[in-house]
This record gives sequence, C-alpha cells and structure tokens, in this order.
Amino acid sequence: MNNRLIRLLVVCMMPIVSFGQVDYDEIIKATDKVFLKDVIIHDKPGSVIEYGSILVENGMIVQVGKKLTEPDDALILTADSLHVYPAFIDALSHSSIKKKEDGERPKVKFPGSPPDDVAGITPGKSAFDFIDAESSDLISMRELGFGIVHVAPRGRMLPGQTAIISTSGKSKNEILIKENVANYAQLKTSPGVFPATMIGVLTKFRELYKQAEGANQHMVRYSSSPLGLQRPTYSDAITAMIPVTKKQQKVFFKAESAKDVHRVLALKNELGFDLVLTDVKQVYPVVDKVKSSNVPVMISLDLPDKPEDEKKDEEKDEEENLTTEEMKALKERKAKAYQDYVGQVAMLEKAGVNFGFSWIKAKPKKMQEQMQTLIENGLSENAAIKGLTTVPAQLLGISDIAGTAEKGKLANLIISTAPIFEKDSKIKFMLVDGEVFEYEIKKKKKKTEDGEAIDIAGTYTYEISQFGASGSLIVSKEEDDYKVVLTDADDGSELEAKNITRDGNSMSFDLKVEEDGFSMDVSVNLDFSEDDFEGSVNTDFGAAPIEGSKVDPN
Amino acid sequence: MKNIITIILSTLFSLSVCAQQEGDILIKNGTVITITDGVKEQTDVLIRNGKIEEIGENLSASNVKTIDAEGMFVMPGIIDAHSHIALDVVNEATNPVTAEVFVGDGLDPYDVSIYRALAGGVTISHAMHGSANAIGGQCETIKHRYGEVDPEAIRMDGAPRTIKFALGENPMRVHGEGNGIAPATRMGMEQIFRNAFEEGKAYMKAQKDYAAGKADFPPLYNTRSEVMADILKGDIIIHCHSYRADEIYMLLKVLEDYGVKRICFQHVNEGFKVAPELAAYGAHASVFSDWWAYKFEVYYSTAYNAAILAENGVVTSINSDSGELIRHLYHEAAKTQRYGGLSDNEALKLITLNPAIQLGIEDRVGSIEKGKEGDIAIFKNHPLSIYAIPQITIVDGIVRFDINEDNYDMRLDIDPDEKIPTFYETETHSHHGEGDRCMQDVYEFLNHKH
Amino acid sequence: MNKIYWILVVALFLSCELLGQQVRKSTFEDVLLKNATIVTITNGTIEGDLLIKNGIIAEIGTSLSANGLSEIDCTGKFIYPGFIDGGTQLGLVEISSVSLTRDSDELGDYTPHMQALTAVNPNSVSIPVTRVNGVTTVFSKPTGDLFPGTGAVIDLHGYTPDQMYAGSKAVLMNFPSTGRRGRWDRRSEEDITKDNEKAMKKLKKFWDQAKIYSQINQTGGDYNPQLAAMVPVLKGDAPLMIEVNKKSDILNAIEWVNKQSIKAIFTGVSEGWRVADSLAKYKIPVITGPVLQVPSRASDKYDVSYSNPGKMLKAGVKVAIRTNETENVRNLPFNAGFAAAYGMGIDEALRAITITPAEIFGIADKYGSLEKGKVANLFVCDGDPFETKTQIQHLFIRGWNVPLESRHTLLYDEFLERDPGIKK
Repeated sequence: MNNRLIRLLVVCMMPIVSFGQVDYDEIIKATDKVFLKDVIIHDKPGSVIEYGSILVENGMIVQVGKKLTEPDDALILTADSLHVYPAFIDALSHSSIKKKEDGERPKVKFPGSPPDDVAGITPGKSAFDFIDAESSDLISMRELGFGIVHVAPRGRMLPGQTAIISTSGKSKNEILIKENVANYAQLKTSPGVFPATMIGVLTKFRELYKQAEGANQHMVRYSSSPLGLQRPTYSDAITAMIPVTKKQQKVFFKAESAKDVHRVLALKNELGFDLVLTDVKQVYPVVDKVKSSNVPVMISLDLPDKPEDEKKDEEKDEEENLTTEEMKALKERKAKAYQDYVGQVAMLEKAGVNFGFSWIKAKPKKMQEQMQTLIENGLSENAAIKGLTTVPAQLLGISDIAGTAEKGKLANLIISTAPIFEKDSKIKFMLVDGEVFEYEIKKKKKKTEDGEAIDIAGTYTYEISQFGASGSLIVSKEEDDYKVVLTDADDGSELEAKNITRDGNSMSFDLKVEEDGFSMDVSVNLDFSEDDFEGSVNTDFGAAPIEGSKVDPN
Repeated sequence: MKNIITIILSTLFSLSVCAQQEGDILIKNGTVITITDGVKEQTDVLIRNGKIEEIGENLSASNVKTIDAEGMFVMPGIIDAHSHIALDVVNEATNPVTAEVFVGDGLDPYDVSIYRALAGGVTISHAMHGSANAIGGQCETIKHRYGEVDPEAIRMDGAPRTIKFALGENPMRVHGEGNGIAPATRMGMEQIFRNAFEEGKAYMKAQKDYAAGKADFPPLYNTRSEVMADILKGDIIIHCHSYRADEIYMLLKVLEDYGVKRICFQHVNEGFKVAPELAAYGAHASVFSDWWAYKFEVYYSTAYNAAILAENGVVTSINSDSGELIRHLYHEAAKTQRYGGLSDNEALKLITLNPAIQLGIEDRVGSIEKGKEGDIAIFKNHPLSIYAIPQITIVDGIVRFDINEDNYDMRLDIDPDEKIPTFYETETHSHHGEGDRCMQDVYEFLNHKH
Repeated sequence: MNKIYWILVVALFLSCELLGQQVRKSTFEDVLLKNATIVTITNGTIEGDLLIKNGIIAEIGTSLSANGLSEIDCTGKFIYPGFIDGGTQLGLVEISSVSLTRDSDELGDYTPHMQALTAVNPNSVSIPVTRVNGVTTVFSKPTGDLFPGTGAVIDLHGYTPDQMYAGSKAVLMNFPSTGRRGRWDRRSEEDITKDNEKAMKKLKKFWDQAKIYSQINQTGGDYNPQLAAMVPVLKGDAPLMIEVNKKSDILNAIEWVNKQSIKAIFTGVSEGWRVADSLAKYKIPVITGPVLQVPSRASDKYDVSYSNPGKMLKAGVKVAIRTNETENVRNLPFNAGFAAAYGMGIDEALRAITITPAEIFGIADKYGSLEKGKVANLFVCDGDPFETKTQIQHLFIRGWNVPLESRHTLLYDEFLERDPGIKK
C-alpha cells in the first residue's frame, strides 16, 4: 500500500495541462447524449411524471415526457423505475475554497485602525480566485446530490463576493457558472485589531454602508460633470459595497443563533439592503419576526443529538452533581429544546417563510438522515426539496437554468433508488452538466441494535479503491487498548496505527506512511457494523473512502 | 416544577415582535415607599397598561391581577446606573477612542443575570461599555423584561443616549502599557479627550459648510465623529469611569471648555475630595457602596463617599458594576446609613430616583407617582434591613420575578447538547483581574497583541 | 511597566510611614461596661454589666461595681463578642492589582511551609477598616496552588505578628477541582478530567512523602521545611483546611479525608447544600462563604449562596461563615445577616461568626463568646449588629480600647465639609 499510495497521490497533485493536441490518456466520449428511460420524474416540487423519460444532450435537458422516442445514438441509462430529481443547489458553503494559511498576523501599530485586509474587510475579493477545482469537496457534494454550489470566500467580517459553480468535476473555468453573485458577511471579529468585537463589526458595517452611499453620490455626480469637483478616491472596501447599497447585490449574512438573527435583521431594517439570513442554526424563537421581515432563511443543518442517547451519562451526572429534581427538569427542557430544533424548519414552512439550506458550518454528510428527522417532525417533503432546489435557484438568479428537471435546463439530475428522503434511498447516478457519475449501491448491512457496542476485534480485508490499495487489517484488543495493523497486499509491508480511539462503533486512528524519505500523516475513520466497516482515509492531499469486511474466522 | 417550565417556555413562544410588554396589576395594602411623597401605610397601587394609574386607599379594579402586599414594603423598581449584565460584548478595546461602537448592538436578553437582578428588585440597569478606553462605546438603558428574547424588547425606548468615558489606570494599562500608544499618563488622557472633541467639531463644521452650500459634498460619513458631534450638541449623557480627584477635575475642565454639561462620574471613589466642584458643575456621581483598595487609584477611598457627595449636593447613586452586587443594591444603599448616617429616604433615593436622574429617565421611573411606569419591587421587611427579602418584582405592570414561582433553572434557552450546567469556581476577587466585567474582552484583546 | 510598579511600591512605603499617625492609639485599660444587653452567645442574653480587666473578661453580672475603674454607660446598647472571620487574606494583600503588595501567593505547588504570620502586615490600612465593624479576629491565609501555606488566626490589633497571633494555625490545601475557573476557562471536559487526574496524582505523591517524613523524622532528619510543615497535620496537632466547592469534588474530598487520620476542615463548600448529609455524617466542619456571591451554575436558584449555610446547618453540619475577602472583611456581619435571612436564623448566624469558628480553630476556651475568663474581644453597638445601619460605639480587642477610626472615617472627617470649599 505504502509506495503506491504515495505515487498515486503525487500523480493526482500534478496539474492537468491541455496542449491542444490529442491526448490518448484521455478517453474521448462516445456520445454527448444520455437517455433516461422509464423513470419516475419529480421534475419540479409537487409534480411527478410516472414512468417518463428524459433526453439529455450537450449538458442540457432537451426533452422530458412520457412517450419519448429512444434515440439510437444516446447512452441509455438503465434506470428502470428509479426516481429522478433535479440536482440540489447549495445555498452557500465554502466548498472547494482553499483554506488560508495560518501565517503570523501582520503587526499593526495602531490596532484601532488596521488595514482593511487585516481587519477582515475585503468585500471586493472574489470567491472564484480561491476555488480549488480539484478539491474533494466538490466530489463529495456531488455524491450527496448537489449539482451546483454557491461558494463564499473564507474570512472574517466581509470576506468577499460569492460565486456559483458546478460540481461537474471539470476545469476551473468550465465549472464557473456565475461570479460576483452576492456579498458574504459575518459577525466575525478580527482578533487584536478593530473590529475585535461583534459590536465593532456592526458599527463598521453600518459605516461602510453609509460611506458607500456617499461615495456613490460623489461618483455619479463626478461622472456626469467632473469640472471643479474633487476626484473620487475611495477604498476598495467602500467601492465594493456600492452594489449592496443600490440593492444590486444581496448580502448573505451568516447568523447562527436567534440572537444573531435579531441583530442582523435590525441592521437590515436600519440600512435597507437585500438580506439572505444564512447558516441559521437556531431559528425557532424568531420565526414570526423572520416571517414579517420577509427575509429568506438558509438553515444550517446541525441537529442536536437526540437526548435519550445519553441516559447513562445523565445518571452519572445526577449522582455526581445535580439533584434528582434538577435532573428531571433539565431532562424535560432538553427534550423540549431538541424538539424545537428538529421542528423549527417545519415551523418555517407553516409560517410561509422562504427557506433553504446552507453548509458553511455544518457538513451535508448526514443530510439525508437529518432531512428524514425534519420530515418526521412535520416538514413536508415538498418543502424540503424546494429548499434544496427552487428556493436557492431563485435567490441566486439561476432559475432559468437550474432548480427543476425541465426542458432547457442544465442536465443536473439525481437518480435515486427510491423517493429521495425515504429511508434507505440511495443515489445511483448523478448527472451534472450532462456528465454521468455512477455510484455503487452497497448491500444492506445487518444493523446492530441502537447503542449496543459490537465486538470489532478480528481480521478484515480492506480496500481503498481510489488509491488502488488493498490488504488486511487486524484489530485486536488488549485490556482496554486496541491495536490495529494494516498489511499491504502487494508488498506485505506492515503499518501499525497510532492514537487509536473508539467511540461507539466508530474507530479512528493515525498512520504514518514512509517511503524513500518521504513521509505522510494519514488519519483514518472507520464505522463498523457487524461484519464489515466503511470509512475514510484523510491525507493532506484529500480524502478517499475505505471499506472492508471481516474475514471468516473459519 | 413542570408548570414553571411550561410558563417560561410559553413566554418563549409568545415573544416575537408584538410580545406583550405592559400589564395591569393592583397591589393591595402595602407600605408604599414613594420616594417623592413619603411613606404611605396600608396603601394600594394600581397599574394599568404598564403605568401607575392610582395610589390610594381601598382601590379596586376589575379584571386585574391583584397582589396582596399586606405587611410588605412596596418601593419603586431599583435602578442600577452602572452594570454590564445582558451584554455579549463589553469592551472594544482596540482604540483609546471608540465612541462609534454601541453595546446596544450586543444585548443578550437570555442572560440569567437579568433574572438574578430582578430577584434583587432591580428593574432597570444601565448596560455599559467597559472602561478599557478613554472614550468607550455608547451604552444602553435596559428594562429587565426577562422572558423576552428579542434584544429589542429589553431596550428602554426613549431613554436618552449615553456614552462611556474612562479615566486612569484601565485605559492607561490597556493602551499605554499594553500597546505602547498614548495615553500612558493622566496628562495624555486629557489630550485624547480634547483631540476627540476637536474632531467632532471639525466634522460638524464640514457638515454645516455643506448645508450652507460652501462645500460640494458632505464629509465622508464617520461614526465616531457623528457621536462626538452629538455629545457636543448635548444629545448624549457622558458616564465616566473615574477614581482620582485630579482626573475628575481634569475632565470637568475639558467639558467646560467644550460646553458639555451632562456628565455623571462613575465609581468616582475620590469624588468626595472634589464634591464642591462636582456640585457646582452640576455633575452627578454614581458610586460603589464600599469597594476600595483593589487597585492603587482606589487606595485612598472611603465608604463615606456617597454620604459626603450627597451632603454636598451632588446627585448621587449607588451602582453595582457587578452581577453579584446588582442582586442586593438595597443592601448596598443601606451601607450609607452605617457610613454617613443617611435617612431611609435619602438612602433609597440612591438606588431609585437619583440613578433615574443620571440616566435622564426621572420623569418616567424612579418613584411611585401617578403617571410613572409600573416598575415596582415588593419586599418582605424594610428594603434597607439586612433581613429584607424581595418577593415580587414588576416591570411595566408585568410580574417578572415572584419568589413563590422561583425554581431551578430559570434560563430562557438551553443547548440540547449541553450535559449539565457548568460549575464555576468563585474567584477570590470578583472586582478585578479576569473576573472584572468592566474589563471584559480586554484580556483576550491584549493576549492577541503579545 | 516595571517603572510604574516601582513608583507604586515607593508610594506605598511612604504611605505606610504616614499611617501610624493616622489612627489614634488604643488604650489598655480596665473598664466596666454598665447596663448593657449582653449577648453572650453561649449563655443567652443578659441585661447587666461586663467587666474587662487585664485584657480578659473578668466578670459578667448585674450591678457590678466599678471600684474606681473607668465606667462606660451602655444603657440601651448591646454588647457582642468580636466577630471571627474564618477565611481572609487580611494583612497579606494590600492592593491586589499591585503584585508586589500581594504576599498571599508564593510560587510552587507545594508550599505548606509558607507562614501567613510571617507576611501579615500589622499596619495594613485594611485592618482598622475591618475592626471598626466589629470584626476583631480573622483567619488570614495564603492562597495559590495545591498546598499554598499555613494560615494563622490573628486579632486585629497589635504591632507585630506575635502580638496579633491568636493561637491557632492551619495548613491549607486546595482540593483538585473539576470546576471551571471562570468564563475564560475554555478547557474541554476531557482536559478538565485530565488536569484533575494529574492534580490528584500530585496530591498523592506529596502526601505519601509527607507521611514517610513524618514517620522517619522522629529521630531527626535532613532539613526539609516543605515536608516538616505537614507533620503537625499528620500527627493531628493542626487541622488541614481543604478548599473544595463543587459537589463531586466535595464527595471525593470526603472520601479522601476518610482514608487519612487527620483533622479536616472544609472551606468554601459552595455546593455544600447538595451533600449536606454526607458532610454531617462524617462530621466535617465547614467554613463557608462568601455568602454574597453569585451561584456557581447558571441553572442554580438565585439564592443558593444565601441559603447554603442554613441548609448545611439544618442537616447537622458545623458551619462557620467567612468572607474570603481582603479589604472588605468588614462585610462579615452582612454575610452572616444574609445567611440569617435566608434560612439560618439570627442566633445560628451569630454563632457562625463567633463561637463556631472559635471551636473549629480550637480556641473556644478563649474566643467566640462573652464568658468570664475569655479574651476581651467585644464591641458595644446601638442595635442588631447584622443590621446595616447599626453603629458600633466601642471596640475592645484583648482589652485594648480601640478608637473607632480608620482611613475611611478620617477621610470623612476631613472632607465632609472641605475647607477651603469651592473657592481658591
């Protein structure tokens, strides 16, 4: 495993360069047409075409309907009786945006007046400049059903302009759908310099906004008759805020808690910009206010754990610290709080608030499961789909090209084994810009009972198909400590894991892969079920799935 | 138990924009301490739509919640002219002048300290910026409408704007010692103020020039200058953290030069040394009952400060500056009877009418008078007695604390992932060092600098 | 920075020199207090006279004759024994934010040999400020890490530590805590557990060494003041005063104490009400406080700290009250007053700052009540001494008639009617 893993990673890191000549390392596609036959098409929220077909050509949907003629020059997807949905649209995330390096922050003599970039005020920067088209983020977003992601630069108070990109896996220029879509804002402070507090951030935002209004007046007058007028010279930050003040650009403002929602709404009411509340985790206390303000809300799906799951801990806490009465009260309140969180999206639906989902903080990895929880707690499936398709499409101004599976739109489709939020529904194919991605449906695993820890010791095979690595993995237990050894099938080399931790039926450990003086730290997370495991191998260069199954001891 | 939770949670749900904030209550047969009109035995107070409608004997009203206050003391809700409760941010410590920031942008209606203050009869507090800067941020006067979770709902609408100034060790430590920029001395401090006022004047002039057609454009919008200009115009009351007599005297002279009248000195431990000057200027003083010696600039203090100031004609109040003291300001006020022998009414004025005057809200609260807002604290035993126990606290005619409905966990919001509420060890000295709310956020800031 | 500190230090030295002249001298005299309501604490309340002779209470009775001694008419007034604060830094810290005036906290985890009595400043400005409120005796203690030092009970009058020493010492220990130290303490739960385990190991290691030392040192050994300081504790001659507050920590501390044969006193004990039965069962005396402090948990009832002493007392725990203060130890009667109002009752709250701490410190034969033969630490006042407005009119410490003066009263006298006033 060792040497190959490294080799593969090194190859992956090399930039793909096109020289305008035929490259026989690339496969030339047989056809640009894809035909989906006998599928159940959920073409737009609330509408279903039973056993219809879809024809995709050059990355676009060209026909949707019941009795389409099967073309003879198309790739026919055997998707019989599968469900087709428009691919999801991520309302905002940092997918594929490069992380900033943790360098020393520059020294500022007067921390009260730092340069704008040190203060985190860079509303003019474009997300596109920070996109890493090779990022594994885009692959995992696609795997979860997203065809389009709306991304914001990372940063502090005003990180910059957002961009809409496709998850088609193509080159950076090809995946860009729209640049400078909106401005991204947060109540995030700049340590050690102004604004070092949230109240400083709000003050600075107001000031910039009013300065941009003034700058605009100046610029308009100057451009019509400059004679005798001072030449407008305004900072990049002020200039970049002008479209916001003219409502030509929305502000996606991150507001995690109900308190922050109140604050951001107050700011919007005062200044009057076009607001999209983004990455809201706690919305239940403010549903009415949000409703009356008519502001769309992008929910961050970071659901709390179900309270019952920690019963044992609670007993211990009670014994050690609280009284029975207090524990009882606390338990009731926690249960209520949990209900508030899992029921709040349904409350938004009922109130008629325009909502979608963003993934700045929470990762969509558990989205399907979480959507099921929301649906069990009153959210309609239709509203869930809307929040993932038509709502963000409309907010981002891309309704004409995305959000539904209708003729003329981008061929961004999910093809799943069952209605998408049904339990055990799996994505079989994704089409993004007409490109087909097929996923292996894993056989249903024997489920262990909730909370019951299984014995994970034993010998397993493992496979990391992305790296072409495989071999055996032995888990053994001595008293309370685990030992994990991986043996490469090719060269028989052994690697022993370090920092092994087990949490329920999950295990994580680190490996140090060394080869020719080149060494790399790899961290591995595995989820075990009765006879097998799946998980991920994470390196500095990206992540890859790993899976394996128990070798029959007999 | 369950009831309480349901009640709280249902309040939680009824919040929102149009949450009810004014109520009707009839308080029967109490000993009513009016502050402005003596003590009335066996007297009723009727509150309608959040306002005191009538004070008298044998009042009756239909469809009104009635509280039997027989044997109890009914006084105006206590007002704290200096606190940092209900705030998520206290100090924007990055600059010696941060007039532009506003702690009202960071209100935290969930803070359980509000409930604890109510349990001490306090209905209004002055939520202040900290003392890291010579000119700190603007402050907010809040009503303790605990149960409301919209930050807007705890603002006291219509209360005058206020701003925090600070003299002496704190700003010198943060900027001079901490960052190597002026002010490092009390001399430097004076120039910071003069400079900031000059900036405000210049900005005002630029605005006037534009209005008079003498300039093509208004000055580029600058929040700090806007605020400094508003102070010069007399629209903002200054509340100045101060200790030493010399620095207090210095600020009086600076303000005189700029024609700024409204000033309340906060803490003002050596105010007693310049009491005649304070009185002559019309400056107010909001003091600790007995805090002293925790830093050098309060070493030459006396617990008789409030009494000396009051006797010299300075409008004086007793404040908390602490989530602990705010729970028993009635007791802190009583200390002026031990240290200086103030009468009951003089002592109670220090936590009712006088802080109301200092915050510019004396026409609305601070005494039990017809037409004033229905903020009331009901005590078992006289509020200045050590055995006083607050029973019911009413804000705008709504009961926000009732000792008979008190229970475990009065927090408004809990994190469902929280295991059990965290235990905090008490720090030996709550009024300085890391625990000093007046200097909250400062250590974080300074740590980033070094 | 250093410069500023030096300036402050110099300023302090200067001020200390002046201080001796600020408060008038006390007088040592035999005196008869006539016609008072004498609240003895241990023998009920007596209407009568009290005779102070040679620094001790010579007689309590009715119609005592002065026999030519000076006499103070106390008609309508009350006499109480001087209050005892079971935990302060009085005398060890002058200005807490000026580190060079802070002598309470030596560096190092194991410093039981640091003697509070060495660094108590008899001329601390806070001492007169404290005693004029009727607090005549305090336990002054080092603070800091695992074993911060040895504290001492002192009377608040005298010019040398020996003149002030009231005959009782205790070795201090901070029981490893699993609580958070403040809002700024952002350690993860795991880190807190780890830190606690580490601290418990440290405790065990030091304790084991001290035990060995205490056994082998019978015939003399190497000079080891650190371990030698533990010998009185291990031999049961001096109490070990254990600071512990959180419920689970208190339970662990009880378990730990039960394994040792020592005299243990728990201090702080802010969650004592949660484990009052255990504290009572194992007969561990408690010095709790401050009563005027915020609850330790956001979910606690608002009055937990007010009601904690009363709840522990009701369960049968021996409870004394402390302020844990430095410059405001004078608030001891108010702390007791709040405890009285919130369930403890006035009589018991009085005991909690008089006879109970005297018993806990093993000095009840001389302190803590008005009885014949006890040290004449007492004050005369015009009402209930817990009531905020009550005025203290006479103060005696070890028979010294102490003037009711302090920096605070002197500044009042000078500035109430400042001269010159507003004019130049």
